[in-house]
Amino acid sequence: MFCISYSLLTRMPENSVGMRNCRNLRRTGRVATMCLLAIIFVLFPPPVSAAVTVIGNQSLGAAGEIDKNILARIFTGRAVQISGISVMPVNMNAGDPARSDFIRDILQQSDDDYISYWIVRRAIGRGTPPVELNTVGEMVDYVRSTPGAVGYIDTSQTVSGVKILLSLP
Amino acid sequence: MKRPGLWKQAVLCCFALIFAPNAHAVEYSVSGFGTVGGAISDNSTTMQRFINDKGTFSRDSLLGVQLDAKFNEKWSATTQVIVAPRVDEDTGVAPQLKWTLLSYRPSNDWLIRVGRLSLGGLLNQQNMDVGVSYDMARLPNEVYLLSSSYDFDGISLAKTWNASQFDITLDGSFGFQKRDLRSYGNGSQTQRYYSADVSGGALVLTVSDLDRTMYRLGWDMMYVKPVAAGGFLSKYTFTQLPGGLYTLGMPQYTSGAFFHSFFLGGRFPVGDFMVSSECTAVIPENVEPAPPSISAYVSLSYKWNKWTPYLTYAQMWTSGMDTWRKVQGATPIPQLGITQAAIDDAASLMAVYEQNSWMLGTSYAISPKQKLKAEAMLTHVGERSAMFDGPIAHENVMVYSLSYNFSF
Repeated sequence: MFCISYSLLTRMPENSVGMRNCRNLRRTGRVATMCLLAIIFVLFPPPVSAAVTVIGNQSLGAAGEIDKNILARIFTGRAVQISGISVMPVNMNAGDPARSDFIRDILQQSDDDYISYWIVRRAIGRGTPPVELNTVGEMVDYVRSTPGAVGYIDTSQTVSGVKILLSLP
Repeated sequence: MKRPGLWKQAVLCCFALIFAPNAHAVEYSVSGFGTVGGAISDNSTTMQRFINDKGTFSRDSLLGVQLDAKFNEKWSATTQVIVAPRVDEDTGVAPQLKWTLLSYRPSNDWLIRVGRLSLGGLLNQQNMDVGVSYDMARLPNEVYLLSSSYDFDGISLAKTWNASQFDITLDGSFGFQKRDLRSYGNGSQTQRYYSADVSGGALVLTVSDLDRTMYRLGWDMMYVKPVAAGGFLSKYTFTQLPGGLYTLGMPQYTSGAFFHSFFLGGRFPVGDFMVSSECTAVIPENVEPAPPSISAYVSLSYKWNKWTPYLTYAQMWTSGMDTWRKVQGATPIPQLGITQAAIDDAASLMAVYEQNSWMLGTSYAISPKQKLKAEAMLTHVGERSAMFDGPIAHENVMVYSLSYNFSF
C-alpha cells in the first residue's frame, strides 16, 4: 500500500528506480510473511484430522450393521456382544492420531476424557480398557486373528483379511 | 484387629484365576492408584480422625494396587488392595482388601458379581479412594461420612436398559461385613473401636450417559450387631435428683439395630460448568446415640484447560440434639461413679452433627493419570459435631489441603 501511495504521490514512472525498489520491498515482505507463517505452523501445528476406517474380524460378518452408537458402547465397555457375537475392542496407543480422531468421532470426547473414564470404570470393578497396540500392523494382525475383534486404522492404509465395518467421519 | 475372613476372598480369587471357565488365554493386567496428600487446620481439636493444627498426611494418603484377570468376554476376576491408615485404630497403616470378586456378564445388560464388593448409592462412593478420578480435594465428609455401604462380602446383580444416549441400571446387592465403628470420648480423651457384624442389602438406580452426566437414587437397609456381648447403647435413662437436678441412669442396650439409608444425587453440565449435588439420609431404628441424620452438598466446577476450580457447600442436620443436651447437662455424682468425664464420654458417644462447610479449591490435571489438588475449607460447627475429637462449639475451623493424585 505504501508503495502504491508513494507512486501516486510522486507519479513515478513504472520502470523507475523507485518503483523497482518498491517491488523489491513487496517481494521481501511476502518472503518474510511466509517465513513467519512457516515458523508459526512449526511451533503450533494445526490438528491433523484423519479419516478413520473401522475394521473387524471376519466373524462379525453376521453381526449386522454397526453404527457409531454401537461402537461407542463397545469401546466404553457397555456392550460386550453384538447380535450374540462377542466383541473384543482394541485401541491404538494413547496419543495416536487415528485413536484421537476415532474417540472424538464416536464419543465426542478427547482422549484424555476417555482415559479418565476408564480409570473410574476399572477402579470400580466394571471392566478393563481395550487392549492397546503400537502399530497399524499389530492392529491389523490382531483384528484379523482374533474372533470378534474391532479396531480402526487410518483410511489411507490398505488392508486385507478383515471386514470393513464403518468409515469415519 | 485381625480379620481372618478377609484373606479367604483373596484365596477365592486365586482359585478363580486358576480354574477359570474357558480360560484358554487369560489376559492379566495390573493397575494402581494413589494419593499423597497433606492437610492442616488452624485448630488443635482433631477432626476427621487426623486433621489438626499439627498437620497430617494420614487423612488423604493411600496406595492401591489392582489385579484384573479377563478370562473371556463373559468372565473376569478382580482383586484390589489398598495400603492406608488402619480402620480399627488411629495409628499405623495396613493393607486392606477392597475388592475381590468374580464377575459374570452373560449379556450386555446383565452383570453378576460375587465376592468383596464396594457398593453404595453415592456418586463417587465406589471410586472415592481413586483421587485422580474426581476434582475435589476431598469428597464432602458431611455426606460421605454417613455412607453405610462400604466393602462387604456378598453378591450383586445389575440389569441395564439402554435408552438412546442414556443407560439405566438397577443394581441389587446383599452381603455381610465386619465393620469397625469408632467413637471418641471427650471426657476420657480416648478413641474406642468396637466391631460389629453387618448384614444387609441395597437397591440403587443409576441413569448415566457416555459423558459425565449421572443421576443416582438408592436405598439400603443394614442390620448392625455389635460383636461385644452387651450389644450397644440404645437408650439413655435419667434419674431425678432433688432440686430439679438429674443424673444419668442405667442405659438400655440392644443386641442389634436396623439402619435405613437413602441417597439421591446428580451430576450434570450446565453450559461450561459442571454441577453435582447429593443428599443422603440415615435413619437408625431406636438407637439414641445414632439419631437420624440428613446431609447434602452442592458443588459447582468449571473446566478451564487443565484447571478445574470448584466451590462446594455441604451441611449436616441431625435430630437428637435435645437428647445430647440432656445427657451433657446431667449432674455428676462421683460417689456413684458418674463423674463429669463419664458424662462427657456418654454425651460424645452420640453421633450428632451441627456443621456446614465451604470448600474452595482447584485441581490441575498434569495428565489424565496425574492430578494436583489444592483446597481451603471453612467448617462452621454449631453446638456440637461428632466429627471432632473433643469439645468444640460455635467455632470456625479452616483446613488447607494439598495432594498429588495418580494412577498407573
